[in-house]
Amino acid sequence: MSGGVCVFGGSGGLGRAICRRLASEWSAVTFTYRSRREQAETLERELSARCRTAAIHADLRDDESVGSVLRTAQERFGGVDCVVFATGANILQPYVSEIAAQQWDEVVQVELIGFTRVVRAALPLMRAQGGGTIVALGSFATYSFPPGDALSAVPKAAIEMLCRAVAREEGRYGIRANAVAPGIINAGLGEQFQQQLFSPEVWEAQRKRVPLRRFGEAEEVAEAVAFLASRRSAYVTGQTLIVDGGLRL
Amino acid sequence: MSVIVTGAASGIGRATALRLARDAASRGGKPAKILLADIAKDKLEEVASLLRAEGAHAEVCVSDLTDPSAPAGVVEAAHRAFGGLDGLVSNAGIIGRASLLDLTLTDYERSFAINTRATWLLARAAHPLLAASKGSIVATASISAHEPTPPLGAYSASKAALIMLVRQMAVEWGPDGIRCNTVSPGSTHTAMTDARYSDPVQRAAAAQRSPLRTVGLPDNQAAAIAFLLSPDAAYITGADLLVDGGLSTMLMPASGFGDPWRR
Repeated sequence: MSGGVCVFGGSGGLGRAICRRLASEWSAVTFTYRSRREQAETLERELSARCRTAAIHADLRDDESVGSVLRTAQERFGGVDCVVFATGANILQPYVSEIAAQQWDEVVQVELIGFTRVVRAALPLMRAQGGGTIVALGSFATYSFPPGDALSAVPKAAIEMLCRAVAREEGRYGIRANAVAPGIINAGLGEQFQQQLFSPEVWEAQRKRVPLRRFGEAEEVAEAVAFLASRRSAYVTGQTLIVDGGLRL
Repeated sequence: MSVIVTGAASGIGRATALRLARDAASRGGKPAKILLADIAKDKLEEVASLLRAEGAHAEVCVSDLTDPSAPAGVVEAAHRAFGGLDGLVSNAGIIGRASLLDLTLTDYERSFAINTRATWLLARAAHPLLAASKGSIVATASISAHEPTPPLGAYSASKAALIMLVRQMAVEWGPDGIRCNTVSPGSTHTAMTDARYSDPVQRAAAAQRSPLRTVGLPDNQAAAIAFLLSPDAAYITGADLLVDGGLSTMLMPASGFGDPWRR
């Protein structure tokens, strides 16, 4: 594809796989990082062999920071045809009864309000260029809730709703918006949880609950993102593609 | 990749067969092997010729899926021709226009026989082949499976049953490595809907009702089916993908909120 994509949250486990996958299809990949500068620079070097690329530091709590990422991507690469929102707060798995207002505030600021900032900055740009696509990562937890996952699941559900709102309101400008909802994935937070939380027996029991009898790979989530970013999904908007091996069923 | 496509003589099935043939050719690997099944023999042969021109290995199987023994025959034909099977696209469907008060028992049974039962029988017959290849199944459902659609009483119900049938397969056959998904088309211009969408006035009105302001094309559906069928979707099972241009987000505008008809 000729145009450029911009991935918010490109340095995490899922974000990195998404950037790699999109680099094989798009001419330019801009991605953001918050704290993992080294990982971002390594990824930038790797991607530069396959497409034009830029790693930019971004703070999703700051309008100006988000806006400047998109402006930079547009100026350097001539347009932003697709925006991917793959950022996630680094959270644990407390029960709702244990979550303090400040913890909610933190994840909602970075994820949900962060995504509203990205959308608000991207829409005028996409309207002006005659269209574009937005793909955000949600969670299978919206469809089958695992206890302890509220801090992650609640803002993710809102992110999906925002995608549907954008699909509805901006379709007339050729802008599509969809979500990908990963199940348990061997990357990013999913991998971290597998190492740090619960016993191996618990994870083994969980794996047997997945109809495909395995956890997913970051590359499999990235394929779904690539599909929704591309012309192959030209008539798909306002949808969520659940990539969970059937776990929620 | 060897695949069965039912309802392949026209519309979404035809577009899917072409898409699979072209995807295989553009990836430069082995040519696609596609068994085309439909009741319409002449049109089936036309599609087969088009596929061969794309470099694919195409076989045809004339089959009436209202006959409960037909699905196993389709799978057997593919087994004979290709020696195995990687994918099943269960796409054949009938629309059966009648309100629930006017619907005859025969038409009701026919809708469920083709729109629902045939997918179970095809998939059951294909199960050993798909378990051997770790293959996948995609069935064509409908937006009508999600939203009641007068006067398509039996159609909507049979497509809703189809989605649950496929989710059931996903759970039962996931451990065998078989993925099972559905695509739900919204308004799509095919032979089935030609009377409606070849009329410019009706077409414009339909387009105006969806956020993307267009009526879908068979290839829009084919692209989604091809994605779910392929290893690109290796961790997706039991999913239904609505390919409707956002039509399903339009309930509140249709009920009078906002100003959906501007522009």
